[in-house]
Order: sequence, then structure tokens, then C-alpha cells
Amino acid sequence: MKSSPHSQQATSLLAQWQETFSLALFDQLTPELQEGFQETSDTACKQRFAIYQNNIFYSLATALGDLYPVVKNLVGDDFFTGTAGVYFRQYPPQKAAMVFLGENFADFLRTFEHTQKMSYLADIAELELARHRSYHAADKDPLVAEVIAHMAPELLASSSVELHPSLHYVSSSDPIFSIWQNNQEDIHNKQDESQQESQQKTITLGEPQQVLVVRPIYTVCMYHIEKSVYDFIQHLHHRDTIANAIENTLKDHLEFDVGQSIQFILQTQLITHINQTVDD
Amino acid sequence: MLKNILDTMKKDTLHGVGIGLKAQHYDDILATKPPLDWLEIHPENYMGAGGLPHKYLREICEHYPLSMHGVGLSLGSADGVSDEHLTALTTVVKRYQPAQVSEHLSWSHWNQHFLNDLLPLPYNQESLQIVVSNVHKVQDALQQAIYIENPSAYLGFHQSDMSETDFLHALVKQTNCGLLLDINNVYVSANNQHYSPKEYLDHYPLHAVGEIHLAGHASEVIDNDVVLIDDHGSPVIDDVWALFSYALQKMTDNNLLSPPTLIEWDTDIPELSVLVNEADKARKIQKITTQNPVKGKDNYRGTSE
Repeated sequence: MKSSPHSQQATSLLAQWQETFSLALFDQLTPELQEGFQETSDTACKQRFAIYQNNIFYSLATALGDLYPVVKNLVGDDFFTGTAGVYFRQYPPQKAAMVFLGENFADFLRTFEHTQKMSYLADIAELELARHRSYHAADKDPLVAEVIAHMAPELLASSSVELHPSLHYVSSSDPIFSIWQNNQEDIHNKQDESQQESQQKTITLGEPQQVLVVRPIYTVCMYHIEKSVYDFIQHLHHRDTIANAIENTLKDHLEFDVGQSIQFILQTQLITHINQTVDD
Repeated sequence: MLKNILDTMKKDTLHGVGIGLKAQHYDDILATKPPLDWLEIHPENYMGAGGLPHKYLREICEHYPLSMHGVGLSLGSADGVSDEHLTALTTVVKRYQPAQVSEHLSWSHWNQHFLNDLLPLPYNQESLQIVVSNVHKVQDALQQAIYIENPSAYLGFHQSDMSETDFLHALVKQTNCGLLLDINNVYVSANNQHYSPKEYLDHYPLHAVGEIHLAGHASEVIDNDVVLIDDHGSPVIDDVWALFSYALQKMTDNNLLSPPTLIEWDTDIPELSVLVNEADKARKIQKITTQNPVKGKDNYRGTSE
């Protein structure tokens, strides 16, 4: 945690004291701060101050672990707690609501020296953040598939679509969907140790995977998708017309299966609105 | 002013005993509709745009009056209340129209860094003016009076030149805010700073109390001294129940209504029935201390000016 240029109000005694107090919470109790404590013994001052330090780090590390259960499972509880400590010193939370906590954790993991050997870890964090954001995203009713089924094909082709506000996608050069799935069993087995039989799939690192996350109603759904479908959905998200999105996708992916992809988009309830463009 | 009063009257008025609403109890509450008079949430947990938390809260609000108890405003911060957080709070308050909104006499941010704890303040004229200014800002934004809770403290400061109760008297006078009396915090702070919790209550501005909190706490020994930790992770202890009775008796003696009371439990959360039983216990004490209601009672129902 770093000090920054003082604001207009920061010249007050309370502001100076809160600055000293905050910096000490992230570091250690200073003699200057301790002088103001009514407790007389050095041990009492240090240990009572530590109650605040422990409360803050325990609650932040717990909240971060709840947000990133797979990252936590991959690195182990103790390592995760240590990592959280370094992370919060480097990036103190910017918002009071825990729902916004840990938004740059993936960026931190990309540069954190002790996790460099786990190349996929930051992408797993990105996927878990996508799930979290999807869970808390605005509600919107998906478009009923019949509406699209009854549209004239030419009109549909010239229309653009609005996709669900809970939609997120993550692309990785590692098999993040498989890694995420394999860890679910491990996380749940921690709670129910009677289930020892492993259903885990073999993971080949370096195999790229794209994941789509969406919550059409209240359950967060996750799909492992082909790169072509991933690109197609990105084109749609950027408000290309359906015809242009197909054309742009086919440029890069000759194997792109249009019918199957549209069916996938309807089944997963990604579309919330169709913007029909009227030709002159 | 008149509009504010009318708006306040339109809302449900809290009475009796409620519990803090926890996500793990959503389904159980909707399935069993336990005999609770109201429920309290931390608005910060509903600052996301949508999804299941809001779905559950909407349904639960159809059956129970709601109170919002904030933890993120940082009313004691010298660098002021965060505009972004206040806007988010205003949005949640407008969305659910809670019967009342409360916050803490504490600070949790400095230089836009949120420390996720309710940190104690030194009590003096400077800190008073900062809290007064922050409370005014919040009440103006929410267009209603808020209720301020006394904190639990593990440290006292030489920078303080007034007592917590004098500070609260002045705060109420200058902002017309209400108070949330946390009996467990009184007990914890009194033990940790070596004063009498009853004497604290004797000096406390009881006329301004619009809500009471009860909770459990933990303890540890530091330097041969028992230090109590406000962890909300166990039943209310007998001494705190006794202090609750003492506070209610004083209010009854002073012709004040018994305020709506909350059972808080935030760590190691047990099954719903445990909280419902704690609420029953609180309700029985409320009934015993208010057996002979006196006419003309009026507990605090403030509105911002």
C-alpha cells in the first residue's frame, strides 16, 4: 500500500492519523502510532492492533478464496492465503462491496513470480471472475426461440442481435474448461470424502480452449466452444449483422458450421433482442 | 421536509425481533416462513445488478419487513464518504425501500483503499465534525435519517478528549440521526477498555435509539488480560442478555418504546432454527420489560431536515 499526494482534507490531524493507521495495518505498528494507544504495555498494543490486521486479512483472503475456489484448490490453502496477502498489499481493495473484490487478481497472477510455472492459473482466475460477474449481472429475459424461427431468413440475415448481459467468454492457450471441471470433483470431495472414485479426465497442457459463460435465468452455465463459434459470438457481440458475422467467421474458419452454431446460440439462450435493419 | 415525513410513514415500521438474513437460509426462510418480525441485510451484498441474491430478496421482502445495515460507508473517514459507494447504496435503498437504514461509527477507507473492517475513531471535536459532515451527506442523498451504531473497540486513543456517549449525544444533536445500540459492542468495548457497561448505558442517549443489536463474541488472552473479539459467531452470552434487559428497563422507565431488536450471526453460521430461538429469547425479554406500557411513549423515528 503506497501513500499518495494529500488531498485538500488530508491536512487534518485525523487524516494524517488514518494514513499512519492504514499503512501500519498493511505493514507493522509504528512507535509513532503506538504512542497514541491508551494501552501501556508493548505486547498489548501490538497484539490488540494485530486483531484489526488479522480481521482484515482473514476476511479479505476468505472472500477472495470464495471467489476463486479453483485457483485456491490448484495452489493449496496455505499458498493461496500467502498469495492473497501479497496481492492485497499490492492491490488494496478499491471498493467497499465484496461483490467487486479481486477484479484484477488474474492480472496479478500473470506477473506473480511464484505462480509463473502454472501458466494456466491466471486464465483459470479469469474464468472464475467471468462466472462471478455472470452470476451478479443484470437480469434480462432471453428471446423466445420461436420469434427467430418465424422470421424470414433474409430479414434475419440483415439483423443484428443483442446478447445477454451475463455473457462472458474466456480464451486460453491451455485447457481451462477441463482444468475447471476436474477441480470441481476435488472441491466437492473435500466436503464429502466418501466419494473417492475419480472421474477426472487427462489434461494435456498447451491445448487451447475457449469457454463461454452465460446466465440466461438464474443458473450460471458454462460451455467449451470451438474457436470458430467463439469468434462468431464475438462478431455478434460487436453488433455485426448475422450475415456479416457469418462471413467474417468463415474468413478465418473454413470449417465453421453455420447451422450448428445458430442452433447452439438459440439453445443456450444468448439472444435477448433482435435489431431488424430496414433496407432503403 | 413534509414529503420526507410522509415517505417515512408509508414504509413498514419495524417492531419486535428480527435476524440478519444469510444466503444459506434463503430457501429455508421461504419454505418455513419462521415467526420473525423483520430481517436485516448488508446492502453491500446486493450491489450487484441482478441474479439470485436479488430474486431471493424480492421474494423474502414479500413476507418480511426489511432493514439495511451498511458496512461500507466509512462515516469516520477524513477523506469523506465515497460518492460511488453512496450512489450504489442509494440505488439499493430505492430498489427495496427498507424500513430503516443504519451504519457504523467507524472508518474503513483511506486514500480510496477499503480495509474491510470497522476501525475505531478517536473522539474529539475534529472527528465529530468529520462524522457530522459525512452523516449529513448520506442523509441528504438517501433523504432519510440513518441509525448509527456504536462500535466494538480493541484499542482506545490518547487523541480522544470526549467519551463515546458524549460523542453520540453531539452527533444526534447536530445531524438528527437515530442510533443503533449494539449491546454486544457495549459489552465488548467496556471489557476491552476497562469501564462499566452499565455506566456507559447510563450516559448513552437512549431517546435516539431506533434499533438494538445482539450478538455473540469470542475472547482471547493478551498480556494476562481477557480481550473480547466481536466475531458474531456464537450465541448471545448471559451477561449480554442481562445488559439488554438493563437497557430496555431504562428505556421503559424513561417512557421510551422497546426498539426493534436484531440477532446478528455472521461467522460459523448455524441452521436457521438456532437464530429463530435466539430471536424468541430476545422477544421474551422485550415482553417482560414492557409488561406495563406507559401511554405517550415515543421512540425515535427521525427524518432528515
